[in-house]
Amino acid sequence: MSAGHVRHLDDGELIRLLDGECSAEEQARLTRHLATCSVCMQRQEAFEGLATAVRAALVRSDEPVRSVRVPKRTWRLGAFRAAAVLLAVSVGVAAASAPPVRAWLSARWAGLRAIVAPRATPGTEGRGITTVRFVPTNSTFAIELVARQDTGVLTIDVSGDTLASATVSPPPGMGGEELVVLPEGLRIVNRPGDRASYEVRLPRTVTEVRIRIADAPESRLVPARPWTIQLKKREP
Amino acid sequence: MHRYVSRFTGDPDLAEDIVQETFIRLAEHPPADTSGIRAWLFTVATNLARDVLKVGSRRRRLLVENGGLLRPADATLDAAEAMEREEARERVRRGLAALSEKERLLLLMREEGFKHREIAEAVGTTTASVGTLIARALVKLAAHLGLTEPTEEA
Repeated sequence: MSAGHVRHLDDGELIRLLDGECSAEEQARLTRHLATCSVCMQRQEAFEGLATAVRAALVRSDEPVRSVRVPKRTWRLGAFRAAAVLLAVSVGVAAASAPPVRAWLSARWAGLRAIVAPRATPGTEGRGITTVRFVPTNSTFAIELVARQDTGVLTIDVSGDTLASATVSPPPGMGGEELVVLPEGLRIVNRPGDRASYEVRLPRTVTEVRIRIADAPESRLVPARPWTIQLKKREP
Repeated sequence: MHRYVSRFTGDPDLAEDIVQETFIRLAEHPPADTSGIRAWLFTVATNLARDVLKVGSRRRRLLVENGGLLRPADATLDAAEAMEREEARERVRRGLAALSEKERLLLLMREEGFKHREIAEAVGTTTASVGTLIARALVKLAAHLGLTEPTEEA
């Protein structure tokens, strides 16, 4: 039973064994050889040690996970910021006030947490809601588009203080797009033929945005800068 | 994925942008077959990184050369530890930069737990040869990092 004439395992075989990439048959053959060949056994152990050492070096050198970068554009939501200050003051007062006042403010606050003042587009008799405002409750915000469109873009800007808004432009036409604010995000009810663009502005309390368009896989974005996503259908 | 791109490019800030861009691509042009979505994402990210590196190779070279000077030390560590860590980081960055792009891909995708079949697809080789290529890249990187080599094949 000498291993004298048996060829040694090559490096690829040793790595395959290490990575669990062998077929059952190959694995049996390689382990059988290792059991009788101290040279290959040593090489196998050396590779294992090397792989572990390289992995440790890589992990040690990884940058620490950093916090979310503050977006550069913060100037656009002046009116929202004023509203946010008002809300913050209201909440502060609510916490410190006598029960009736607190109850009243809580009710106002609850109302504001839902869709805040959906604004009708002038001249369309309330049919086309251009902008909805709301206060996201979670740090994760989901945006879902029912369909992939012919054209249009989805812009997402995470730079506000408290209030979020979603805008359709140009305003939806006959039976057009609809913005539905859900507890965990925004649903854009559109159709494949639509050509509208959407702008979603979120407060910085949102640290992750999930986007799903039609039945495509979900994208997860971390706020860093405003994004623009093309909504047009995939080229074949 | 940020870890992978960060290692691949040697630049965590750039990696962050590339990861975001990758997910934007996913939202815009999702792949027809979503079963291999993870490999798809890594391939897109790798291609983006490749493009960016090509354009900014000179800038990146300067960054690598001045990496120790430009990168702020971790605030939470004391000065000596931070310096030591920065040196180690720099060594690994240089080690990875010394590999060919193919070798870097092989090692970094392996670290992310991809199967040899997926790695083979990404680097354009056969599944059977991935083991040998990984072994070679591993030895090369280890040598750059000053780690011991296994005994040569007889």
